[in-house]
Amino acid sequence: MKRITLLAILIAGCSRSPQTKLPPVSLPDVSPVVQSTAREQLRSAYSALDAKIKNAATPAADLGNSYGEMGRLLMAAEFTVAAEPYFQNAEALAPSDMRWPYYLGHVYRVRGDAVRSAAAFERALRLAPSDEATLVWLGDAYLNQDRAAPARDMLAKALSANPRSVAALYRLGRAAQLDRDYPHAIEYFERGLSIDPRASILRYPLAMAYREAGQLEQAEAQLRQRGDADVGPVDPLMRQLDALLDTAAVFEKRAIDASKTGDWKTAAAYLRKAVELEPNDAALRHKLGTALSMAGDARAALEQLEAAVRAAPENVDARFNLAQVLVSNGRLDEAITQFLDVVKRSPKDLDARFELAEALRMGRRPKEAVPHYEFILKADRGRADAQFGYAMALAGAGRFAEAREELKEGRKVHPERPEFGQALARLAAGDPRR
Amino acid sequence: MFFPSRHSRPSCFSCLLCLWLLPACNRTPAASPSTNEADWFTDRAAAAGLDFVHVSGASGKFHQTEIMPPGVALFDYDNDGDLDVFVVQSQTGGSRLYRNDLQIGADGTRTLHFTDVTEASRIKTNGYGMGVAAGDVNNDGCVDLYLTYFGRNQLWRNNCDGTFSDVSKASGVDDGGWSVSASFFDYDRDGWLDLYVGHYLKYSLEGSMPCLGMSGRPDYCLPSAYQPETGHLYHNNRNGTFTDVTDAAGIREFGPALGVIAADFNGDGWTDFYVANDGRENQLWINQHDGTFKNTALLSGSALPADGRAEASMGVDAGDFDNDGDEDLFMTELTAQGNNLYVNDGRGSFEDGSVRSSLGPASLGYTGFGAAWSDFDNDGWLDLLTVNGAVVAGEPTLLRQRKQLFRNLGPSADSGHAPRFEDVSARAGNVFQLLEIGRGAAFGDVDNDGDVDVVVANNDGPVRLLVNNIGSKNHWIGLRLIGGGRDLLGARVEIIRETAPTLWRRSRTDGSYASANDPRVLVGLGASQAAPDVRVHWPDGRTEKWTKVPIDRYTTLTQGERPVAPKPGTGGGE
Repeated sequence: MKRITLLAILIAGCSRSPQTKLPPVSLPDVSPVVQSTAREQLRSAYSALDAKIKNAATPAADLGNSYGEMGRLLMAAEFTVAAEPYFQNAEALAPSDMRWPYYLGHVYRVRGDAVRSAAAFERALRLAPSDEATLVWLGDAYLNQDRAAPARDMLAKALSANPRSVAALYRLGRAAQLDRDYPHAIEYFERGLSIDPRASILRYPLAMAYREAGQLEQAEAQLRQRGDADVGPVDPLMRQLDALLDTAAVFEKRAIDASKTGDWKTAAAYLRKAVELEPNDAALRHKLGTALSMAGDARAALEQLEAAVRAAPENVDARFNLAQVLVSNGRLDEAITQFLDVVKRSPKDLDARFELAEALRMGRRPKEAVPHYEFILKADRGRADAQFGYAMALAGAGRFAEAREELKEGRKVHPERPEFGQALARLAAGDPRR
Repeated sequence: MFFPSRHSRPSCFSCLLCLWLLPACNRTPAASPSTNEADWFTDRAAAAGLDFVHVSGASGKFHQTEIMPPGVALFDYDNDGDLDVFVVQSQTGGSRLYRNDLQIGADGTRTLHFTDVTEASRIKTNGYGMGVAAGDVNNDGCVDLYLTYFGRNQLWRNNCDGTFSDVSKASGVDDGGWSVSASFFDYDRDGWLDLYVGHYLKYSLEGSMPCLGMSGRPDYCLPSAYQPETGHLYHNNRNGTFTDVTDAAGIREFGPALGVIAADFNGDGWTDFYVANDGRENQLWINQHDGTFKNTALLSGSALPADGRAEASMGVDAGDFDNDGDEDLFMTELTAQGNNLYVNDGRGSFEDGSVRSSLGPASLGYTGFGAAWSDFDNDGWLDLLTVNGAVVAGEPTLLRQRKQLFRNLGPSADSGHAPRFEDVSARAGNVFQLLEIGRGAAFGDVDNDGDVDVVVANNDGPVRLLVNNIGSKNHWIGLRLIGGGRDLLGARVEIIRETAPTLWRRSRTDGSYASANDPRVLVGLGASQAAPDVRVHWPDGRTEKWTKVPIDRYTTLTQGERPVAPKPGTGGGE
């Protein structure tokens, strides 16, 4: 599509100052946007703005709002470069609306321009001095510029506004680390984790703080629990962007949000909408199948997972999930076929190999299960579930003496797992497969 | 486990495939902006005959492979004392070998000219090229080339007569899959170069999944959309073959590797290696002295940046930027992540110094690839150069980026006495204003004038030769560290100065991104004209000392020339 460019021409009138020179704006080339719904949303919003620009009677605040709304739509569609002048114009025309410098702060943040990001958030903060999200993001921008002192000020204010702000505590911990103040860093990170233990992103910096404080055991314990569950501030303005576009990706994002709260039915419903827009997308069908399975609809889950595997045979994750659902439906032979395929494609995938071995054992094919358990234990001798399965497969294959030795060792190495002792007793009683 | 990948749709790959089969492209490179001798660096690629233009074959289908190449090598294939250039092309037969026909006039004037000798060299590249590593694998004194591909890798044995032979299959290092960076180093101290090949993603054109953004706009995927591939450690069998010892060496964790660098990170005299992964934890494989390695990245503080978020590490290098005698790590990252500096405490434990050094904040607006520690102004402090270019096609204005030059300012009180860096790109020359998709970068003294020049390989663009105009204004010493007829990669040197602290440097060809560097060690001495003593710590654990090594020239130090001295603090040496 031919690039449409507009100049925001000064139009003299009672509502707008003739001195206000606004930067030009343009609608970026939206033709690569494959989903027509989003394309049309962008074009129609631009047309509406264009009409207001051409109408000299449009009040400044109204025009400013329209610029800002167009900027929001572009930002939601990840046209961050294109969004910038829209927000600049919105801020110029509606200087009391904190949303526009706030969004500008994010535009610069995602482009890595910490200086301009901080300046924009500072302007937003002047209009909304106790807004938690603005305080946290401004603190973040300061941290990225090695300005720990003003960062601490902002984050302390954010914490005053919301004492349970894990986002603020996380960044206060980072500021303390920058100052090599490890006791305070530990305190902030630990406080954050006590409020939200799922915020696993805090574990690694906490581990590093413990390490620097000479507490290696605590450091290693934190490293074992590390993860990538990030913490942002409560951020209603940014969340609004998620609802602006009706695209498969947006529905997928909403599904992910729903899944995080355990609402698998809602997650599945959003994913169905996404699949309607992108019916050939194997990854989406995989996710829909998983969500349906979690929601308890095994039949529909199988249908989606089979479609995902058909569309992308190399997708071992989809195949793995399909096999799992087949197992839960008692279709062991089909599950084994799928697990075998996964193991063939990813020979070092110990989880898949374990599921395969378990399915073989459950399917009364213990001899075939044995080498798979052996492979797993060779790679990870400490894996209790594999050791137990191995012992039971050996017993199932009639290799009782070896099974007994495995169970004895398992009982010794894993005293917390009673099944080793119980199976040993059953084996001694002469009925290993009961 | 849930929702492992981004939004995708099926794709076609025929266009890309067709482009691979086309002969090498001979498009005229775009001219650099006007050059100025006062610039710190001047692009002389076109003038010197380096007329290579990379062609990615991008077909609009957003194949993941097309945004990753190419790499470039600086190596002296004909042993005539100057660095030749090998540039990787992403189409069959397209990679080129250029012979350096450097002429030095009686007044010291350098005239650089490169001649394309690919046909004469008999190197026939085959497939979608990614990167290159250089090392003498058979100890015959001639540098061999290892080429990485999306497809089967190649080992080209240098026949010492200007030609190469394809020994890929016979040597056993013809990995398939997708690999980008590789590193030659002698991990078992047997005097033969071993090889680590980092692999990236399990990816096929048939299973390609272009990802859609929130608006439904197609783009390249995050690496998390695919599983990482298994890397390989190869042991050199000293007979022209290698054995895959990955599993036996205890290397069983893999990320999507893009950068590899080998060095002795914990100061025990044995070579370790570090793998930079894209979007996952990086790995620090510490040599256990028995043929095995242990990944200590997490507790050592080199797996992740201080905030705990896995970043998209790409290019990587190790060097002693703070002149405290150990190897510090630098790696390039995505836009808005900022490059990372991990400062070594000498025992293989690291502190994230990205923000404090200014290297992180100054690079937030860039996606970095090739990079290396080099003392560009020969003031005795290692500086950094990064070549940049994004990996998202979304908004074209973000794709092409400028290169960056960071000058090491030395220690300062406000940084806790750790050196800070200043982004001096704006003063470094017009070539630093070019917007390009930078990928590989090879570092070395191309004109043998005593300072570090850089060859930059751009994706879908011309190669650049950044000739250094300022380094040779200071004094320097250049060292070639050889033994058994070849460069002893991994050898460390102490430059012992009478009136200034000792400097530590290392011979290596690896690091940067998908590229191979000058193995010679070039050390800036600033204004000092005093000839320093040099103690060499050879990769086999022995040390030797040379006194009053002449300055402002290259000197070859051969292992065994001097009486063996015990290694300080270890009692070793034999």
